[in-house]
Amino acid sequence: MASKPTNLLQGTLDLLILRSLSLGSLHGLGIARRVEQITRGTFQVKPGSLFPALHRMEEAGWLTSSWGESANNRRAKYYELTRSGHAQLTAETEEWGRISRAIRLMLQAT
Amino acid sequence: MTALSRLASFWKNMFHRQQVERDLDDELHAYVDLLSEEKVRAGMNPAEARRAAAIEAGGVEQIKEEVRNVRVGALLETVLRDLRYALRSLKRSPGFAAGVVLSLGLGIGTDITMLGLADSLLFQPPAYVRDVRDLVDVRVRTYPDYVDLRDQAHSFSGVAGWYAPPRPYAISDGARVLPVQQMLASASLFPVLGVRPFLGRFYDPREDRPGGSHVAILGYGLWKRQFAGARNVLGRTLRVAGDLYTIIGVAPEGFTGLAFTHVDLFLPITTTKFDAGPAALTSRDYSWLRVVGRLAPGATLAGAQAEARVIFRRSNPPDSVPSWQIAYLGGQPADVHSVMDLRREMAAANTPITLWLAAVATAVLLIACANVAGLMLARAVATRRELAVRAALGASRRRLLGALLLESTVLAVAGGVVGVIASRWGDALIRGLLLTDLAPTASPFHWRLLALGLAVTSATAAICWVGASVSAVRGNLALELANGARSVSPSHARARRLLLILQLALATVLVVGAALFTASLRSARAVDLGMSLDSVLISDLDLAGAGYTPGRAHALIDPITERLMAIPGVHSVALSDAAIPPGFLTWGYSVPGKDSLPRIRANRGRRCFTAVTSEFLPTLGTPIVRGRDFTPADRRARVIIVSQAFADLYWPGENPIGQCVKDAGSASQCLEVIGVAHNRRPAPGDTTALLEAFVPLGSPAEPQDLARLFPLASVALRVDGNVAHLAQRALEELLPDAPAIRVRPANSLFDRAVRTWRLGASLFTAFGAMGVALAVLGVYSVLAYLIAQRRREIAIRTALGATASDVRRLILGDTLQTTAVGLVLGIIAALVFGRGVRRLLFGVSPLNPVVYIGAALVLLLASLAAAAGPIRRAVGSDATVALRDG
Repeated sequence: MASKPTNLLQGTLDLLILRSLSLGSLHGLGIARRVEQITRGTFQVKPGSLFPALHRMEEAGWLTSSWGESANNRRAKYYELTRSGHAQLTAETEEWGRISRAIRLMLQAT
Repeated sequence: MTALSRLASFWKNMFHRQQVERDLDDELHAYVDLLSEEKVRAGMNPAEARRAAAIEAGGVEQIKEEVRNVRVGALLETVLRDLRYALRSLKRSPGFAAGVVLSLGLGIGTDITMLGLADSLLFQPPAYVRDVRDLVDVRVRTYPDYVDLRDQAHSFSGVAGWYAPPRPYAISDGARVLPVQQMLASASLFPVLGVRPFLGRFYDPREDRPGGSHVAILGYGLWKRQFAGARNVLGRTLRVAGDLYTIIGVAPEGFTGLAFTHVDLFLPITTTKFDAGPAALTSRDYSWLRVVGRLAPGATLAGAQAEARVIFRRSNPPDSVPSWQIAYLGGQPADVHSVMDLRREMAAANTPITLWLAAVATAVLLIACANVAGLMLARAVATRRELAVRAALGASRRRLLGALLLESTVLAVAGGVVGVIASRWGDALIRGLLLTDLAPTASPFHWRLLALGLAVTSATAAICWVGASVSAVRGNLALELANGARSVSPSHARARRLLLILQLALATVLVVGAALFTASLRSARAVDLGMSLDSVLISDLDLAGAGYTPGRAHALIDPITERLMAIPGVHSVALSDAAIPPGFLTWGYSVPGKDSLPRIRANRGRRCFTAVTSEFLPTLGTPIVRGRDFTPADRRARVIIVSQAFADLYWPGENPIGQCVKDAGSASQCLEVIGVAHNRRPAPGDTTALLEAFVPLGSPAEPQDLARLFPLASVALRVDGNVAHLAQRALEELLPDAPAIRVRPANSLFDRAVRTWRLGASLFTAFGAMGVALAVLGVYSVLAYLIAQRRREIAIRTALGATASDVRRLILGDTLQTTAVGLVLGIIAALVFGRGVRRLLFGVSPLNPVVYIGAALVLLLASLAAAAGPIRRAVGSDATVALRDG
């Protein structure tokens, strides 16, 4: 359906990453693929924005990372949500809901 | 929670950087591996997959840089890294670093010195004075008027009088006689200013009353010098002008009252021995005091002035102060000004030149900055390839500019440290050699100096940075990488040329300034004072101060003259009731039938009345232009000699000889004009018009009031050879109680008067030399750089048949062109500068073409000399080598 990948809104990326990690730990490429898959290709996460975001969020204490083995026995760095990461996801989800409701109202009004 | 986590990350980023970096590297490579594996699974062959994955990832190093930028403490880390980088690259070229730091240090140092001097003259309140804003200077100059104000005014919480004699007076502590700078101060001065003694106590009002106590306060400097800082100095005695004074206190270090000059001794004003002596305490004719008051709580300046005027008018009828005297007093009687205004007025003689010199020091600093910017630019260009590589690796333009800023800051701070140290030294040097009577800044806080140093240093860093970065990171860096550093970049060449032109222009201004002030100093020294003083010795006597009556003093005329004439080598001896510099005493007179003429009422020339012995005018070398000189027989006659200006004002086109002049004091008889003397000047460059009149000392022509104030004030001798010490001994024996005997060359009187030009000439010359040296360095480095850049071009020209002289002509033409532009701009700037300093010059036109042509020639030669080395190297280089190496 989506002909062109949409540019990520600033701030949306955090929410997408948090959401994709809410089901379990993933490595960087895994996160990118999960986002693509769930959004059906609407959002493509480039490593140039993915890794800075991951490190920033880890330093904020929302994620922790550890080295582990990939499905094909390759070493990879896995990220998972911390308690404060879960809290952040809840907060940002609510915030997003508020914004999207507001925007929908704006678009429906004639 | 978040903050804690960030703090932990900060710690890790700062102190375990290597591990963090390795981790990042691993993570990103793992990412690329996973990506290519994905592509292999999708059916690509492994090699192709790797390539595709690398392209898709888009540059591992750039991603790393982005990650580093978001890390906690990224900014600090960047700064630290750039700092390390800057220090390392400076360490690699210690010559460059030393040269830059030294030239910046000299520039910053001179700038701080001159700005600091200007600051202390204009803005710093006098030391130890409390709440200087409430202090006012009242233009009341006689002692009785001061007493009226002190006793009657309600607008002041306190009123004090003070007087700093313009020359040192001798004191003796029993064994030695030393000239010391004294200040007469009313007892109220200390509480009014709010100062406390360092040791002992200050005198109180009971001790400062006519017939009061002979007590003295030592200045801190004198106490340290002569009494070795001994605490038991209190109670000891000093002999001052024949009287014994008991030392009761020591003033705090650097306390000078409101004066700029240092003070060695404070004495109660009622014990005055200076000039007119005790007679000054009762005379409303004798203006000498400064009066300072502290406004009472709630009182305003305007209210205080209104009250002071009312009090002044009660004892001074209107019109009792003539207009010419108002000009001399510096304002209407009883005007009230802020004390800082008075300070500025007192500093006025030194201020404009100090401000100009501060501007000049700034020019030197700018030249130094231009040099540094030039050198940094050259380095930036040399490392441009490196910069381009760093840019390709993800360093942003902002980061590169930041690195340059850091480098210029490092250099400026090092220069600032050198400069602050140099300025302490330079300040002492300038005060010691050129402003000898200025008290050292007593302020124990040097924060103003530090703030000044900081301000100048940051400005320097900013200027150097702007200069260097203007083109260092301009243009397409990627293109640069493709072309290599070999290309001649026109924008760099232009930037460097601009800096060079700026330097040459500023140096031209400095050389012109040095020439103008040196010429002023020379013409000031050569000025016709109306006297020829080259072999004249003088001394003050101040017999009034020692309590001599006119009769006693006049009885000494013959013994002093005979005793001094007996010294071999003394040709003539003259005595006078005034100090030697003309215009010392102002005293009104009256010319019947002329006084009411508007032309004469409006004339502001200073009226001077001097009683002299018959040898006075020939001894000082003042010629009689009309009529005759005094003879010894005139001591019994009512005769007067007037100056040319006097005669021209009162009797234009008439014969002045035989006319009548009266002294304004009483209803006196006519004095007959017997001669006209050549006009005299108070000092070189002093344009005060003097209307002088001379009468024979001790004759009936001498006004009685004047004789009482000033029975005998000075002596002058025309001599051959060095007999000053003989004259000194003779006078001390004859007048053991005269306080001010100091035989010295008459020309030394004018050291202060020529100070502005001496200061200007010496400092402009020093700064000018520095400026030219820096500019030469600039020319040299720019040319060396430009020639290195054009090596290939020169080699090609040589290969195509250009001879050595062709090459020389090419480069020389280039140099001359740049120099010419700099010189033209410099001369235009110098003309503007010349207009600005016009008032400070003397006997030389600010447009004097010789000065400008000379300055241009000096810089042209300097520039050519600087160009010689690089040109010789360019001509001597081997074309094939240059072409092969590129």
